[in-house]
Amino acid sequence: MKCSGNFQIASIERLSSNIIRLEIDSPPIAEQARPGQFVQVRIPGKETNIWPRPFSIHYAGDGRITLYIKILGKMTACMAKLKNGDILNITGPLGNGFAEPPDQVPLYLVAGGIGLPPLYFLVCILLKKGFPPELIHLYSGAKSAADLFARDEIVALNIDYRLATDDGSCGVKGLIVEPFAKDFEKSKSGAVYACGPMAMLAAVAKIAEKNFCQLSLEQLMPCGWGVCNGCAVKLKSDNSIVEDERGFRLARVCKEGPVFNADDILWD
Amino acid sequence: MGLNLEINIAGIKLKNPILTASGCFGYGDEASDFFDVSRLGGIITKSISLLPRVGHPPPKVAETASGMLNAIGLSNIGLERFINDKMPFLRKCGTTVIVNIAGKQPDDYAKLAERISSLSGVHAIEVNISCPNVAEGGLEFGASEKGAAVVIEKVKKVSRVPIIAKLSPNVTDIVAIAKAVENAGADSISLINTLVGMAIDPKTKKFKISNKFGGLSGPAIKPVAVAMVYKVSRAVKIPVIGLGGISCGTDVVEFLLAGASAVQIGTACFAEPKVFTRSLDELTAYMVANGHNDIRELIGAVKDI
Ligand SMILES: Cc1cc2nc3c(=O)[nH]c(=O)nc-3n(C[C@H](O)[C@H](O)[C@H](O)COP(=O)(O)OP(=O)(O)OC[C@H]3O[C@@H](n4cnc5c(N)ncnc54)[C@H](O)[C@@H]3O)c2cc1C
Ligand SMILES: Cc1cc2nc3c(=O)[nH]c(=O)nc-3n(C[C@H](O)[C@H](O)[C@H](O)COP(=O)(O)O)c2cc1C
Ligand code: FES
Repeated sequence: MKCSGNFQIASIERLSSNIIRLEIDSPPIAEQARPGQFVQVRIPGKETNIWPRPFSIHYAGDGRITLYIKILGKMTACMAKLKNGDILNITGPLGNGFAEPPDQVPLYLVAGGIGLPPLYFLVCILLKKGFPPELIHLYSGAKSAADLFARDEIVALNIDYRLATDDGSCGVKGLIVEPFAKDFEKSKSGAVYACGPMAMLAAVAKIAEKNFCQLSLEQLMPCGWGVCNGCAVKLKSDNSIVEDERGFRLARVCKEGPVFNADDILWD
Repeated sequence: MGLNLEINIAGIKLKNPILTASGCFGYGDEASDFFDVSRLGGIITKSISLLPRVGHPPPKVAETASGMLNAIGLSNIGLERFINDKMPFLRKCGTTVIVNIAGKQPDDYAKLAERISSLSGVHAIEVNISCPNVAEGGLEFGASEKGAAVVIEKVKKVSRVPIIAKLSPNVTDIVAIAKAVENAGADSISLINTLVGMAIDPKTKKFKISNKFGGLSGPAIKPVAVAMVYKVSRAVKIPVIGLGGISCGTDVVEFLLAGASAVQIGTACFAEPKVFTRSLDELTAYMVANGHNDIRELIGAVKDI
């Protein structure tokens, strides 16, 4: 059973001018959460926003879920003003998570900006299951240092961790795809996971070529639980979901996704 | 004494007056993740067409003040897949099942109605002659008395279950259309579908949805819907099902007072999957607090100031 109800903020921290970290006491959601899944969030009493907002689960454990939130517009600005003990309305966990890698092959995880949380959660779960940390490479990029987050948490995992910023204020200067491309060229094999802007995902998919590659997509999500079709995107045809004579099918990012195999995506 | 929430609409028995609005509840099978769907007065499915439809490209939706625009373009899995993949769930969902249909031509509607009304487990058909999002069909019929009547007559001729005509608010005289579908044999009328709208992003100077125009829904349209339910329910003899912007039990009461015999909830369930059962609990509490034993006491019971 999925959950939809009010839960209390256990801790809220402003990490920089535009990132907040939230821990929410929500045992029924935390127990079920898998990496790549997300929750829909509303602020009770602030129903001027018709839709809830989707946020990926960064971590789930001890009855809590952790979210990282980038302050972007209306709702996230309101969330930044919340305090410990305040109530949020949360629905989840929603969507399909990441599939586990086929073997103990090198893992490359590429995060663009606020795309890091689901990848961090995936690494945590794989390590817990005994996946060797030396095989894991995590690439985290953002516009500038103020947009990078969870750095201490990642360092504590003892994995290979690389940073890049557009302005060079932290890590190498440039796009995060570049260090990933260089490393991947060397081995040309492994499993690839990515979450971030569409252009970054397209670049990652091209580099990963025929290897196992899963991407987490973003769309506007009026419902998040599969009933409105507002988030539907076209995928390459197979024999599932809506198909038409033009050889593609529709998939709801909130329900069949947000994680898809790179092979299935129709790049415009 | 027990409360009576049961209502009879055109020969269809609803255990309570709260239904799901078409296109806002999928095919009914998603919601059991959240609550017991047998508590619903009934399930109305997404519009089904003869062939699958992909609909418009993204973005298909935009959030607006107290509402939203959608141009989903009637994307649906088509008749055959609906029958094979979705009817098995609906047959055992424990409540009334109403299948919404949409076509490009009057004959499409007739074919859909003939096939769907012969399926076991379908209690009624809602005919969408009011979708503002597709160039062909839909609103083309719903916008004129003649067009609306032709579709309803054809459907009535072949259907083995009661027919609900779903009307568009995007017309000059909704009462005239309502009377036309009543004369054509409709057993009930539901209204309103979405209002045509548009939103533009000044930052990018682009339309917010790919189809340019979309259908406005949510609390923003509620006063328009209440007014139309009031007008139509006084002009026709068949029962009216009201919808548009309902998000709580007191909204349900408002529509009943205006003259609706039942209601549907759409957009509000996106943010709150359990809005149906919460609204039902609130409706019950309202009846108790106001000394009503029977839901029928509320229908059309609005008083002058
Ligand atoms: C599956 C999924 C997981 C996500 N995970 C996270 C996360 O872990 N952390 C996080 O900070 N954010 C995440 N997001 C993005 C987050 O949902 C949006 O940033 C948030 O909805 C913005 O809300 P707002 O009211 O502040 O902005 P709004 O006022 O609604 O929008 C501000 C601007 O951003 C644009 N915008 C908003 N949401 C999106 C979107 N989804 N795609 C494209 N453009 C958009 C709007 O069009 C507008 O121009 C995720 C999105 C999805 C779909
Ligand atoms: C995303 C979305 C999809 C819809 N799809 C359909 C549809 O397929 N057929 C139909 O008759 N109405 C459709 N509607 C209209 C609703 O059933 C309803 O008439 C309208 O949204 C007003 O009710 P609300 O304000 O409670 O949402 C859709 C509405 C929305 C928001
Ligand atoms: S957001 Fe409604 S179906 Fe995906």
